[in-house]
Amino acid sequence: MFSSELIKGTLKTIVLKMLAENKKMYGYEITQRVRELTGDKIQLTEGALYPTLHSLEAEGILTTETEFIGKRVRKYYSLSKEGKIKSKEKVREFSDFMNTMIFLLDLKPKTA
Amino acid sequence: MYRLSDQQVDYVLADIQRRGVKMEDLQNNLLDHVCCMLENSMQAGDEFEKKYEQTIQTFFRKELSEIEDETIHLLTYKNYYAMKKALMITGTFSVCSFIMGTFFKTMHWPGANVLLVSGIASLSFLFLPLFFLVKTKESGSIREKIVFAAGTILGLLYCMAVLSLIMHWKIGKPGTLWIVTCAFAFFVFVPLYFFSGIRKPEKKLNTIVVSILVIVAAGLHFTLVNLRPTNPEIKMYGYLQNEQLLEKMSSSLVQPSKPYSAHRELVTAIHQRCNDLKGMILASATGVTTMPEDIEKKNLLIEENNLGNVFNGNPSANNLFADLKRMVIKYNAENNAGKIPVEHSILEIQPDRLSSYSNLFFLTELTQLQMFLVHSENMQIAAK
Repeated sequence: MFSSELIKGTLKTIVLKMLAENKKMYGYEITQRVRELTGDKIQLTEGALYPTLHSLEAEGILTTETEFIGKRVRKYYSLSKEGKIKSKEKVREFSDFMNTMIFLLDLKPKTA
Repeated sequence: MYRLSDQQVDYVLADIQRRGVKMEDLQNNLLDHVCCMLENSMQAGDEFEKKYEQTIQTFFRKELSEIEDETIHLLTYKNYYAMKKALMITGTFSVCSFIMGTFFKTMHWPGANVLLVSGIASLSFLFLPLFFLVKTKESGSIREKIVFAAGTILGLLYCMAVLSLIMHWKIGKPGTLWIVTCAFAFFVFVPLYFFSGIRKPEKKLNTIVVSILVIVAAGLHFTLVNLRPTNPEIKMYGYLQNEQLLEKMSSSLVQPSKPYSAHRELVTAIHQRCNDLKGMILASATGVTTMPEDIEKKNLLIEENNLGNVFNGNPSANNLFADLKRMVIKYNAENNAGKIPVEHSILEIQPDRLSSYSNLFFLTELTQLQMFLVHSENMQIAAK
């Protein structure tokens, strides 16, 4: 499992990418999906996920809809128009960052 | 899959609330999340409350409400980077505008005041408050925040004092703002700064040095700015006495039955121009065009000011001045004896520089010019 420091910087990107691929998701679903995809390597904490979701919503990047599950309310998040652009931007930025890190840390796999 | 009952859901919600999460939105999110986790992990025979306690513990380090704190932090400070950017932009704008304003002012170019005012205003009303907000967000302790607040107020006061000085704004008595600024620096800012910094061993030397610098700078500035200006009335009375002298000289002028002087019309016209100009200057300073004899009773005071109000954007004043110069040169050309001095007089001032001269100086000079004229006429009449 990766350290929370590493995840903190990439959380927005992860959330935006998840939402870009799945139309609407709720918090628990996001954590489970990330877990599945990464084979438990990335486990989003509730303490980091929800503050991020709320701030992305406030920025207008996410839109929400609610659904009643018995007595409790489930909040589904999806990308707004702006969010779709932002999601692409973030992924591009991170891929750029990764290439730079690969170069910086001299991690380039040796090509024959 | 296990399914939570309504009572269990209520139990969880009540617990989340009890743990200090107040935002309803966040309560619902957490509630759903915990419930999902429980429903996925609970096995038949598990004790609900125990299982819940274990699950909720994984949500936080110390207490659940830290999630809410983090949310509020992100919601409030999402502007943080925008603010930092704005800080850089306003700072750069202020500095550029201030430097250009200073340069323009030195060159007596138009627009200097606009640049200076906008530079200082954006510095004091945009840059300083933003700086304060950014800094207080970065620093945790209340003590530091108070020091930053005091620093910001000091900066604001200083800017206002400078601005009121260069723009001749009247905020209280002249110099009041300077005294307030210096007093604030000496008695509020420096003690606060000094005693908050001196406690920290790593900041001790820095604190002492900065405190000394602030005191020295404030002290130097305090001395530099004339806090007790020489009585401004002295200059006014200097002008008024010249005016009296001119009147005496004019009345002693031998009144010829016929115009002795060949250019009597020119002489009258020069006097007329001088009086008109003086009228304009006096009107801009006091509201009346001639000074009455009982100025003390009427409490009239000509405050020393530059002539911007008289000459800027006022073609008639500029034309009067140009006329006057032309006429004096003409008069001098027609009179070999008793010339009116042009060199080293106001007549040599370039028209675009007029607005930077003092009104009292100009009034005195115009009166002296008239005295020269009266004297010259007197000599010519006496000679005939």
